[in-house]
This record gives sequence, structure tokens and C-alpha cells, in this order.
Amino acid sequence: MLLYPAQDAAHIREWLTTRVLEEFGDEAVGTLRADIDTMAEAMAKISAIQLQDETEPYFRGPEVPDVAHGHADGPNE
Amino acid sequence: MDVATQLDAEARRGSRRGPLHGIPVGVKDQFLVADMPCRVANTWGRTGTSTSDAGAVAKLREAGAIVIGTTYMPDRFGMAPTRNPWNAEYSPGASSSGSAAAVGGRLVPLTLGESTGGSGIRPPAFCGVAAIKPTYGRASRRGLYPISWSLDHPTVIAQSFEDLALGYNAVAGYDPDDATSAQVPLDPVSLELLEPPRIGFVRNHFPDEASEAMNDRMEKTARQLAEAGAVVVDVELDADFDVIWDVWTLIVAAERAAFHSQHSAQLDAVAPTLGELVPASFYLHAQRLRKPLTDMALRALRDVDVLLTPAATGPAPLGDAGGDNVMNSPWATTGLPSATFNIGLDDETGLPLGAQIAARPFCEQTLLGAGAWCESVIGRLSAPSPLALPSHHSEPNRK
Repeated sequence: MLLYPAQDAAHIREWLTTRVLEEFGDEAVGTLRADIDTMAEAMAKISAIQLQDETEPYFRGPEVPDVAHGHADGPNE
Repeated sequence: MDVATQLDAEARRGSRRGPLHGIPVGVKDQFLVADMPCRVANTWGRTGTSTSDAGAVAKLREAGAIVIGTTYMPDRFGMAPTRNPWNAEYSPGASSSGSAAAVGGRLVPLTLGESTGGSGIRPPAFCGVAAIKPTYGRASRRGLYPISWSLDHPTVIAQSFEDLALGYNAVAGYDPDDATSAQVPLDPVSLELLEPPRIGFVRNHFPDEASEAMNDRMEKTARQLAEAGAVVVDVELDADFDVIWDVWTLIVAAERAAFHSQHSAQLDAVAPTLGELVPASFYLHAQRLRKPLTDMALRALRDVDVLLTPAATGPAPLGDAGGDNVMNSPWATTGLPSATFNIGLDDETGLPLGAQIAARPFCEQTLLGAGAWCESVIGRLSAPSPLALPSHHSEPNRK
């Protein structure tokens, strides 16, 4: 059993399948097969994207843009 | 009726509470509405009647609106009984379908919806009406039953952009009781002076997901807008932008599970629990990706007012399917404001088709102005037939 998902979809799919089997049983693996595949692909895909160290994980909504590039409007429209 | 009578009396005395004085509105059954049950909360194990209004509902009332009821929100029990007002064999969309169908069927002129992936935009497009999803933080989420805290957006659905602006002006603004509310300057949107917008027609990622017929209609729409005076230019998003759908998938799964896992266990609902298996490191990596993905969208917006994409992959699907949120979830993930306007009826099904525009953060004036201008060029749909029949092939009936 994998203790932690590896970074490629095949290993993540195996890890997720094992976890679903342990948590919910055989039947759930079949029921959730498509979801497991989707989730594994998503996890593999995002893990391939490198980020700058200072990028924080807190989503506070988008920042107020500068009024620039010739736009007459902005947050104070 | 008591409230309506009272508002009538006030109006006769020349006193109006606000721009929505006496206007009947519906509210998606995901917002708390005082003295009404929140059915969606009840189905997840909570009971009782709300004792207070959600922030957005309170603002509608302050503007004079009369909340005449809540609109059906499909949940784990499925889509019925709401149907598409253009053809009852077809779906009205996803979770905001009750609010969209109520406006599309001309039951009320304005409703509140909610968008976690795209429900505040796609169902209105399926039902032939207009909608706006304001910037994340622009409209209060207080009293909104959560699906996914960092993705949920209150939305406004109406028959026209003029009405949308009234609704948006009512619900927008800082709410000190909502931790995610944005303290950003806000002036009421005005649609009195409309100018042709600069439109960035998105040429990658989005069209890959749309049907051929939808892409053909988008080409036709872009030509119509350009011929009417809009500056329409092709834009492309970064190649890596397509990871945004994976980011959305992971965040909504994890946040939904975090909120609903207890109720899911009690109710034997298996699907949400897969989100419990998303490792924290992946959830946090997905959250971190939102900033660079937003920056990619802002680069595409650098020289234009709005980005133009389809609002859905095609017309409403048959039966109870909610449709794919692939066109809408990027703007929920980035938090950028977006809107939909009707672009006619599908040649094959006779159902409405919608375009989607997105603007820079907190630039709802630009967004609504562009939408209103596009609506004036393309035209609005008349009300659907009360007895919309299957395989409806009538020509667009415009006004």
C-alpha cells in the first residue's frame, strides 16, 4: 500500500483506489471508478505545475486591478 | 401580500424604498430567507425555518423588493420538478435552475442564484435570460448555505441587462459580517451611456469544449458585434490555463467534503466522501495555483474590456442533466466577474444559446455595460410559449 500519493496519475489512481477500498469497500470502488480517475488525473496534473515559493494558499478573491492600459474605468468606475 | 400592500401605499404617498420598490423576486433555496424554510439545508440534516435573511436577500429587501418565495435547488434528490421553460423535455440547468427557469418562464423578473462552478450562469443561458456573477467578495455570502466556501458566488438573474444592473446595484457592497466580503469602492452601475466594448474572443481551451454548432454561433455572434461597432480581437490564454479545471475539481471536492462529510455519513451519501481523500498538500497546491491562473486571465484582458466565450457547451441537455460547467468554472476559480447574454435559438433544438463575458476584478460597470451593449445588438428573446412542445423549431422571436 502506498502511504502517500506519488506524482503521476497511475500511482495516484492506485493510492486512491486503495483508500476507497479500505474506507468504503469493493462496491464503492466500482461506483466511484470514474470519480477516482478524474481526481487522479487532476491531482497528477496540478502537481506537475511548479509555483514560486512565495505563492500563498489563501484565496481572498482577486486583487483590485490598477487602472491602467488606457481603461477609463476601474474599481472606482 | 401584506408587504406588497404596504409598499403600494408607500408608493402612492410618493415614498420609495429603493430602485426595486414593489418588485417581486425569487431567491434560490440556498440562501436563508426569514420566515421561510431553507429546503436544501433541511435535506442535509438541518431543520426549521430561517430566522434571518442572508446578506444578499436583506439587500434586496432594502431596495424595496418583495421576496415572494424560494426557487427549487436540485440537490442529492435530483432535478425534478423544474423544467426548461422553452421545452419541458429539456433540463433548465444545474443548481440555480429554479431561479433561471422562474425568470425564463416570466414568473418573476429577477431572482438570486448562486455559482460554485457555473450554476449562476449556465442555467440562465439555457433558459434564455441574462445573469451576472459578480467578483468574489463583491456580494455577501453571509447566510448562503455553502457548497464550497472559496468558490461560491451569489448571482443575479434577470430578463435584461437593465434589470440585472438594478439587481446588482442592490446586492453589491461590503458586508462586515462576511469574512470574505471585499472592502472595495463601489459606485452604482449605470447603463445610460453605452459604448461599443473591446472584446477579446477567446480562441483556445474554451472552444475545444464546445459543440461545433455552438462554436459556429459564437463566430456569427462575434461578427454581428464587430459589424455593430465593437472591437473584436482574438485572444489566447496561456497553454497551462487548462489546469484550471483540475484546480476547480480538487477544491470543490475537498471543501464540499469538509462541510458536508458529517451529513453525508448520516445520509449514506457516498459521492461527497471522495473529497475527504484529497491530501491537504494537493488541496493547498490547487489553492496556490489560483493566483497564477488569475494572472493568466488578466494578461488576456490587458487590451480588452471583456473576454468572450460560450456560456455552455451547447443548448440545454435532455432530461435532468445539469450540463457541463467547463465554460463557467474558470471564472468561479479566479473570482473574476462574468455574465451571460442570449445569442439566439439553437437551430436543431430551438432552445436558447448563451454567450459568456468576463471582466477584470470589480469592474462590473464594464461587464454590465458590455453585456447591455451586446444585448442591444443581438436582441432579447420574447417569452417562450406557455405550452412549449418537444422538437420546437420556430424562428427566433425577438424584441
